[in-house]
Amino acid sequence: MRPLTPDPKQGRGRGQPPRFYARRDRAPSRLAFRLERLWLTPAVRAVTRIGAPIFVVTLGLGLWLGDSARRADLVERYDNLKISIENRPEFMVSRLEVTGASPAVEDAVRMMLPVGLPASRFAIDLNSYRDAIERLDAVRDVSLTVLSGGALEARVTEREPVILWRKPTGLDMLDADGHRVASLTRRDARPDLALIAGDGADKAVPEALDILAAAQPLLPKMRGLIRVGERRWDVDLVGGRRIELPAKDAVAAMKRVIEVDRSDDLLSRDFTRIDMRDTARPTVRLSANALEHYEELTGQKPRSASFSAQTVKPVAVSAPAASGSVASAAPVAAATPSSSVRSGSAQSSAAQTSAASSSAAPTAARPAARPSGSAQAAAAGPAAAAATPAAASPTRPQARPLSNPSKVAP
Amino acid sequence: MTDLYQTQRAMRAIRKAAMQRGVVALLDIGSSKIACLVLRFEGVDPARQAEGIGSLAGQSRFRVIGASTTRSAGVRFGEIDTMAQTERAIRIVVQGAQKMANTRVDHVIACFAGAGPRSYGLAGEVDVIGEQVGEQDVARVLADCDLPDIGAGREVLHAHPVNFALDNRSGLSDPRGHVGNHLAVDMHLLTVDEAAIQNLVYCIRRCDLELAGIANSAYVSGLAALVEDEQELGSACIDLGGGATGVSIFMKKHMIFADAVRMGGDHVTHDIAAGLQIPMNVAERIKTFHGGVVATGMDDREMIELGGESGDWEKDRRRVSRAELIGIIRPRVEEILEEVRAILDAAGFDRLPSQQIVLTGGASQIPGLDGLAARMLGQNVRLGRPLRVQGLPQAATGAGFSSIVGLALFAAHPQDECWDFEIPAERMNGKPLRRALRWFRENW
Repeated sequence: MRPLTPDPKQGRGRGQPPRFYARRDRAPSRLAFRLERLWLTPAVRAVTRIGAPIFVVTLGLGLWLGDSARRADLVERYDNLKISIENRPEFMVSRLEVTGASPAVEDAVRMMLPVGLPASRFAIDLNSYRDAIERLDAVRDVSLTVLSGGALEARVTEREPVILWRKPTGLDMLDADGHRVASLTRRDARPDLALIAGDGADKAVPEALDILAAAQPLLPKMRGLIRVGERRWDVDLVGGRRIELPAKDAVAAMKRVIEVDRSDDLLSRDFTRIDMRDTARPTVRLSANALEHYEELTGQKPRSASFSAQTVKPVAVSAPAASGSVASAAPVAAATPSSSVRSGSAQSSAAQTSAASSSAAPTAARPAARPSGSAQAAAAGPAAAAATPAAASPTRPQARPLSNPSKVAP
Repeated sequence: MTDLYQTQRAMRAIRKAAMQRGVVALLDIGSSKIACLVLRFEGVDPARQAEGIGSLAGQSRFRVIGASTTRSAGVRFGEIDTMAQTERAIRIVVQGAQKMANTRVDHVIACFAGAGPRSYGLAGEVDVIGEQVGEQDVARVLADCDLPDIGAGREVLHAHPVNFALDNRSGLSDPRGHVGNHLAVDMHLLTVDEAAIQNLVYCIRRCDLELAGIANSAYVSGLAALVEDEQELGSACIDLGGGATGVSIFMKKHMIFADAVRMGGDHVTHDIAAGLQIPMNVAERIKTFHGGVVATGMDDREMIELGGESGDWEKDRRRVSRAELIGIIRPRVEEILEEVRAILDAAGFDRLPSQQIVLTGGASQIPGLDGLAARMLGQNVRLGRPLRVQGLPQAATGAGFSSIVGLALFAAHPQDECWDFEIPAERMNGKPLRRALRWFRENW
């Protein structure tokens, strides 16, 4: 017979009775039961686990901070700690390195530094410092960097003066954008810079620079540019003469003047104004002397000096005049001894031109053989004739027939 | 009856409040163990509610979040015998389940097996007021049922309207909205001893808990152990508990009969202890490990060590064969089953269309019981285990937990009881005045 169960006496401690049942569960006392139920109430749990700690901490802090001396002490400690951290050698800036600045600007930059060096990096308000530097007229751009070695680097890009602006109050140097760079006390401190004048001239500096670039050949004769009415430029030449440029396409007008000057030596003539404001009707105002000469030569009686001095004759200055300019020039040309001749082909006109230039001697009144293969030349012909009465004196037979500048070059 | 009516209605209101709070505790007060579950009710999904019944047969609405069981103390024959011990045992389980659920529970639904349940079939009939049957008509027909003489000191535990008949149509589960003239109802009334209920209420109140409902454990075991078609077609659930064996008969998803035998597994243990002269706990252990009801030739050779600490070597070294043990167990089990047979016969179980018998409860786990029961009760016998509900611990899925699981279903979906309907208006007439007079007489 095999026993189904192990001996109950085995497997348990000696002297212990065999135990078949787990012991009865111990009943909680009524108080324990109630407390446990209380503890399982969500509100009680929340109050005990969150509310009570918060209350205790708040109360403790409030009591402790209730004393003003403690509060002051705490604030002071905090400030000291902050200062001691800020003044650590890692954060100290001991020198200022300024690169890319002229000595005057560098001095100014150094002067502007709000604190004396060495100072903590936190004591320097880099943004306001940079704004202050950028407020200098001579500075176009600046970047501030705190380098690791305790250096504050200010990389300055200066404005480049390209032009002088004479104002009633003084003389300013402007950069290419028209921004003031510095003032000058004497014009000859910067003889290399061109001069502009007039109200609002600084706002049109780029255009002025373009005009100056176009007027390169005129520079020796030029005194400067004058802004008129804040809208257009006058070129002021030595001797009080002026070239009046239009508000639009001033550079093209300037080029036209240069071109005519190159071909017809326009600027060496005796005039007071060259008026290019109306591109369709360029006009030259002769001086009083020249007008008298002209009228003598053309056989006109001078009616009155003042009137003749104010006589303004239209001049077709340049080649690209439209055919309309022919019409406008025609009445004038009719008053001149010359008359336009339209002839032949471009080849024949070239031949005549060379012939004419070789026989340039006799008079300006000589009817010029016009290279009038194109309407432009035809238009230019009478104009040139009209513009040259001053040269009509026998002693200065300078008038040369107009031709393509390239052909006159030799 | 009106007092009871009010009590039961108050408990329904408490149950509703508990559902709204979302947590309710269930207490199965048995003779051998007391079990407690904590249910958490989740909000009803409106989409699912529209379909009528939710997924998992509506069980997805609740979840078991705490479970605890302890050895019973002070309960005999399924009714409270020693209040202090029972109260302590209730405190143990409630505390354990609360701890597991990590929440506080205030409302308890309890069930117990004993207290002499007695079934009554009631019938009532009224003429319908108006064309359609309304809530008032149902209330009136329920009130028309004549309360039988349930005896002094008895209390109604369940009052289920089982069947409604309208004119010549019978078998209506819900007559509301039907058009008819004559409404009749069959009601099943279950009464128990009033003292048992009062003891239970007292114990639970001593634990600072509120009672949200009471149920008969045979009834709730049937809810958990019978599958739906068994409940529909007719079947009996036999809950073999420790101190009492509950019998409930279901038909058309309603309990139509319940009774209890005041015998159970504890009596088997008692017999073993007496027969073999061993302590109760040893007897219980031997019964659990080696028990059975059908002896075979092998059982003569299987010897069981009895043990003991009497100091008498001869006594302490006794061994019995398993056949002897079965010889002690079987007569008692047969006795229980004979009683059950008698109850079923008295209830007219043999006239049901389907005569399925489901054995459940802790004592149903004796090996060979289903064969014995089939011989004694009828051919359609099976062992039943409770329905699976969400979150139920594995340890609480055995046959012994049928009633507590059924109590969970009962808590979630209580069947209509008589007191779910308003008291009809004509019966209310004059009542407030009478109550006011009584109040005056008592207080002035």
